[in-house]
Amino acid sequence: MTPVHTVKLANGITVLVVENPVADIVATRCFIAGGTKLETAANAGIGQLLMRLLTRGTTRLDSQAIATQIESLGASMGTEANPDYFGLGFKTIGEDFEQVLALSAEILRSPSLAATELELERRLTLQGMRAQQERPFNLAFAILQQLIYGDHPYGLPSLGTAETITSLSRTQLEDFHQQYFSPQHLVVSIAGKIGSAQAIALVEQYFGDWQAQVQPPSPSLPLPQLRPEKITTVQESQQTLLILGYGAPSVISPDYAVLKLIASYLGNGVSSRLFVELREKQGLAYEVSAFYPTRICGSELVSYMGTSPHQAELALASLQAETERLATECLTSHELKIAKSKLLGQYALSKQTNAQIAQIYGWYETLGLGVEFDWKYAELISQVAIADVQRVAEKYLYSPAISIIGPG
Amino acid sequence: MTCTYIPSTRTIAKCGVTLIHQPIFTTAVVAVDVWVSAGAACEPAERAGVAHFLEHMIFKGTDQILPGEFDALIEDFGGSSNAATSHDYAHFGFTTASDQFALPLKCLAELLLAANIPDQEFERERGVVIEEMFQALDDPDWIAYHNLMATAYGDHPYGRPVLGYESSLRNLTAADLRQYHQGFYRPELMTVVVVGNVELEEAITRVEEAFSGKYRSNQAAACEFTPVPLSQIPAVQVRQLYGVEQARLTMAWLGCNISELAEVVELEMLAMILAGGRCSRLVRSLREQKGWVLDIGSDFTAQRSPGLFTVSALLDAHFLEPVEHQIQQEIELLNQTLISCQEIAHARKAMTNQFAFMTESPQALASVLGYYAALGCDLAENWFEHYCDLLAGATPQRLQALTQKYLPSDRYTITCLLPI
Repeated sequence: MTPVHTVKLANGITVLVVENPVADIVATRCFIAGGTKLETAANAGIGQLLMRLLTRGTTRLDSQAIATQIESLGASMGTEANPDYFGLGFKTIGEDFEQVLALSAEILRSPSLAATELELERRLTLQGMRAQQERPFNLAFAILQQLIYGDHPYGLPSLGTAETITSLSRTQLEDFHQQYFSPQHLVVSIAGKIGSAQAIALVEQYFGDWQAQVQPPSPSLPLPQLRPEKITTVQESQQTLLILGYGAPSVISPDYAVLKLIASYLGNGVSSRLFVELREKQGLAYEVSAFYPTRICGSELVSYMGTSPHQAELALASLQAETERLATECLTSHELKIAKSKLLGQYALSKQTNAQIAQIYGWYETLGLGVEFDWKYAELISQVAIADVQRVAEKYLYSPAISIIGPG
Repeated sequence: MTCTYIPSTRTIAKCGVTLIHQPIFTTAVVAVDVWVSAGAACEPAERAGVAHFLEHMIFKGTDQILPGEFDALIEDFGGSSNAATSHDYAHFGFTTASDQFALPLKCLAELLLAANIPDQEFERERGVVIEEMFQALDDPDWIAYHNLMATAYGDHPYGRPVLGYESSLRNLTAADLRQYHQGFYRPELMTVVVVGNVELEEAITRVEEAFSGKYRSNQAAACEFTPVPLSQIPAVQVRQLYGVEQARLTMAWLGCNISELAEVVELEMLAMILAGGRCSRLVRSLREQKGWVLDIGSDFTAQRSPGLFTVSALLDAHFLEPVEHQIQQEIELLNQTLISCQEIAHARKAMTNQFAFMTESPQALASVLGYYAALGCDLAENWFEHYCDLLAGATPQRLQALTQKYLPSDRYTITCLLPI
């Protein structure tokens, strides 16, 4: 097992370090707990907009100055807004780690949110929103999210809407940043060719004097309310895309590991159930898959496929039947064993690069599960029994929300 | 940047395949990638799509192996597999725990050398391949890419889509695939890359035992790929309407082929200097300062026949003209004026690090080593140093000479995808 050095600094920051001397690379992921579930219908998209603005200027450096520093070191840096956290990640070679860490501290702590940069990002976001309309999957999936999550912010459009993006003000962004970007919400996760003592000391040096804010109480969020409706969007296209969504539990549910196993059995890879039944045996699709995202407030199990319009009806019936089959039909013990080794083997393979290692530990810590969830998860998966699979399938895999897009 | 890699080794195995072995003793996995030096460029025009269709059919079994058996084996082991076809190659890879790669390797070799391509499976798979093409036709970036390739390369095989056309796919027969398979899936045209926690001796033994004696030699059917000569691309503008919200603009020039590795690296450096990051010339001016494009990038694709140097932008249609003008001006500037040493130094460091980042996982590294080898370009044992040496050789004078050789500011292909 990989040792993860874990330290909590006086101001509340959690630092995780995995020493990995294989290549001269250090990957870092900074997580701010919260994420886009802190948004409301009135300010939807504020998280994405803020994260994109962070690297566009601090009180000391402008956008080009920041980019020049990063690019002259050959480093890579990116930011993201996820449902449960805001992230900033960077990758450098060993000797450049300190300089980019220092820059990251400045970016996270004191963004300038300059008016000109806000206007540019606003325009780019509106353009990006239109570009999203070109992708049938994005369009249909956004509709499905509203059906699955109802008034819960997980159902909001991730880029926001034309109205919110046009109206968001600099003051709103400043307030949002001030409210949620605070050291007690920060996890800094580092993996690569660096000593843990040195890495921790450097985080202390650049983040240690960041004072914790008095926190407003976390907003109480409505429970996700799935509406089992079918919405069809007509769009000129070659294929019809079918997406099914089932209400699913959060990562802290005892059913989580069982449903992870079910999702993997159904839709992960070329030996998965949906792939074999719908593509290999029936030739109905090229792409057919399923996934179950790991979330704090509740989640969804999604299965989808693209098919020719003339066989869409048959394909939908087959997709739904195959997705729900485990509720009525037991896995054999051999199938269960194979499903477990596939899921656990691929889980192990997903921790190969420093960025992947930093991501997974930092994320577990941010979700409040602790880095030990890495091995707990493996243990939970290996304990799943045949009866668990059927019980959990029966509990969640019925009455899906359905979103379809294709020619009329 | 210090290099921590042990040198790689290139061996011609007795069974005829070329083995590239890269030990990494600190990893727990082995990544295997088998590259067949025959892709869609080898197809006769009327059988467009046969190479890609064959990639699908490889997994449909042999006398010894059932359809889907290899996939199940890999996933039972907790491994992962992937396959892809391009104009110059098809490749088939998998990753497993380091003590488990022998059996899947044996199985994959059998599939590649002795594929049955059964008629019934073929008919069923035709539906899947056609769905794959329909999915591509719903992707505006695929449409824009194919529009560019067809315009720039015309009748050259690179001008045809790897996926084929609906008509050619409907006309293909299982016999066409078998013929193509016998012609090109020969050990001599295969490069097997093995990266990870495995010694050279073991890699050789495993490859010999996997690939020996399975190939039914049929000299009469053996095909050789003859590259189609190509010296220029047409200086034309092709506009196509499509249901997009944002227009796509691509300008393209014909570059070198992959055997000119120094030029390849230098063309990649020019692409980096033009549009490789927020500080690059075109991103800074067109996106950051003017806000005329949502995104802009530049790229050089190294291929067996001369590849394209491209500048592509995602933008509102009414900015097409000024954006083209600005790109043309930047290209003219590169023709006229030396790039500063500092700008080159930045690009060099960025490219060195990107190469290191890109090859961090055994699977990605196997893919890079296989790509160059399959296209007939020897990266050398110390490939990382070799790449750094080539970067170090790029001077302002050389880059200007290269621009003057390949990137005339007044002669290029331009394709646009426009909202209806």
